[in-house]
Amino acid sequence: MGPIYIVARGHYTARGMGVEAARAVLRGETSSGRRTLNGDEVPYFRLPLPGRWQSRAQAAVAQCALALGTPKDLPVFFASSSFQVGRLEAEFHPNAGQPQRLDQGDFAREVSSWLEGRGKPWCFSTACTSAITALKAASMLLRHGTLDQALIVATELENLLSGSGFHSLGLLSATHPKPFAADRDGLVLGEAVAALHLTTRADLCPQTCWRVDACELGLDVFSLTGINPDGSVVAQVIERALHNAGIGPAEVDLVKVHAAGAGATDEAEARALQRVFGERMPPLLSLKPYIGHTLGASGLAELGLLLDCLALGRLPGLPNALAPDPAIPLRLADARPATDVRRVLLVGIGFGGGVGVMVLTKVSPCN
Amino acid sequence: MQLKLLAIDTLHVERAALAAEFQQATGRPLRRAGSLATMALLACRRCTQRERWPQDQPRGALPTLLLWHAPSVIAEEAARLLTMMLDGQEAIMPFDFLASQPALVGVTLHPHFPELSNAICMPWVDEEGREIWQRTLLLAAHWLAENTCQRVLCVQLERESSGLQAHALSLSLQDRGPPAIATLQLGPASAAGQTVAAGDFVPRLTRWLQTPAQDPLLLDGDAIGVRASVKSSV
Repeated sequence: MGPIYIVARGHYTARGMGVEAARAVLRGETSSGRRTLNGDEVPYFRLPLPGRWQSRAQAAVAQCALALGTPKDLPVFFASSSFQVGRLEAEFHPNAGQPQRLDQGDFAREVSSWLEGRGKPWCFSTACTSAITALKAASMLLRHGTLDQALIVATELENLLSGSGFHSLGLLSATHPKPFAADRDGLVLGEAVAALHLTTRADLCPQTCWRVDACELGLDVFSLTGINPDGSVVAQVIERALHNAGIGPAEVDLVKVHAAGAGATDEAEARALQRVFGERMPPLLSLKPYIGHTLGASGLAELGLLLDCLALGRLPGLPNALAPDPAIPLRLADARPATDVRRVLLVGIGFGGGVGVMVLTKVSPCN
Repeated sequence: MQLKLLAIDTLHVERAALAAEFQQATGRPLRRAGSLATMALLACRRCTQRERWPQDQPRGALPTLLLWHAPSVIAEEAARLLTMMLDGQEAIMPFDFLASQPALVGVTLHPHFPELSNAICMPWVDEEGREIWQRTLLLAAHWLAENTCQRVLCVQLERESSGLQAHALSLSLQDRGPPAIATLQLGPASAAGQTVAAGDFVPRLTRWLQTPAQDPLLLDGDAIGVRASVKSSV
């Protein structure tokens, strides 16, 4: 069973693409657009792409593919929570009957064709942990030698259905993302397209790259829209990821938290982190103030953005001063150099209780 | 890689009868569960009830992963909401949105199926059904090998003219628990046998299991060079 390396990554969010997006994050850029849902105007992190849904989707995927420089003919593992719903909304005509071309797999196959992938894509939809689920599936097949390369692709593109649904549940912020803050008031959604080229072949890797040491999933069945306030399931998944990575909590240099600014979920995640790391809490980073919550693509988009920030040698701090919540005795890290970050842990928590945790280590595969 | 097939089942339910079937199966009325979750639950419960636990062995709780795919059913739920939202200009009600989300199937099922440890939706596109079962079985085998679950339920939901259909397989690697009714060998087929297209897999497998010992059944597919062969039933 071989190690799994990240050969290349591509991500496109409201802050732009790849390293340029990372530079924007490090400059502290957090501006978002607005959109109207159910008569209310709410913030929304939109991709900086003009045009209609289909052309925007294709352009975003093309930009990611360019960044990857990926060889053709790779098996594709596709993830999304909304697939092509936005396109169907754009094409909808009153009294025309129910929308056609709704098979979610159709869109995955379309995206795979844009990337010149091999065969029909593997598809996964587990809400906000979709990308982590796809990465998990690919990792299992890579680790057992069934595949030696895989392309993970995740998309989350604007649509009214997801936005209206979250709005109807009272989950959206009217202001901006405030992770772990006392006055956090909900999620701000965003668009993203992201991709990751994985391999077990060290000869395909750059001199220094990141290795996927663990990718673990869990399900918190506390409620339909929230996880157990005690954070126990999140803590269990983190501990399992650390165990499978062969490391202890003290060996983690940085935690990229989920922390979407949702009331109880932020607090539960904080409790989970306290349970695992105790007094030796690593620096904590949230990327949602910069790109929003990109739902099914968040696992991959935030991973790519984080690694590009690390490649630039710095980590972003809090974009705006946030009032600390007395119930959350954790603080997100200030801006700082990141040359000493070698091992990162990334947390994702999903609508419906899905939990995904990844452990990555910076390595030189050919040494 | 080898999998134990613990049970197999196909279920048809008329839409109008879903709530009554749910009540009969769980002893509780249907509340806050859409058709996706309801049918998935019925399929999981019925399939596991068909496992042949020895009479002198109490049914144990096996941490269970649900791998499920339902492209046509998911599409129908989304279409209904889109039509409601865009044609009728109605705001989406919270419950309608929740009921349409595949990711909520796990948390919805768990109170009625406590063995469930996770649920993963895989919206495959596969008109001929060639790769659905190949891939599902392969993922099931890998997940079982990781030992984070002791049973995988593979469920395919489909829309029929007046209702829903579910095909379900219960799979395990464990020596303890119910005995296998057949063994699935994943990998190059080592022996000749009857080849069945994946789209017809569950019905053919069901008929094959009901027939006295015969040649292995081969699930054809070239997704990633893996073939599933079903050895003689135990």
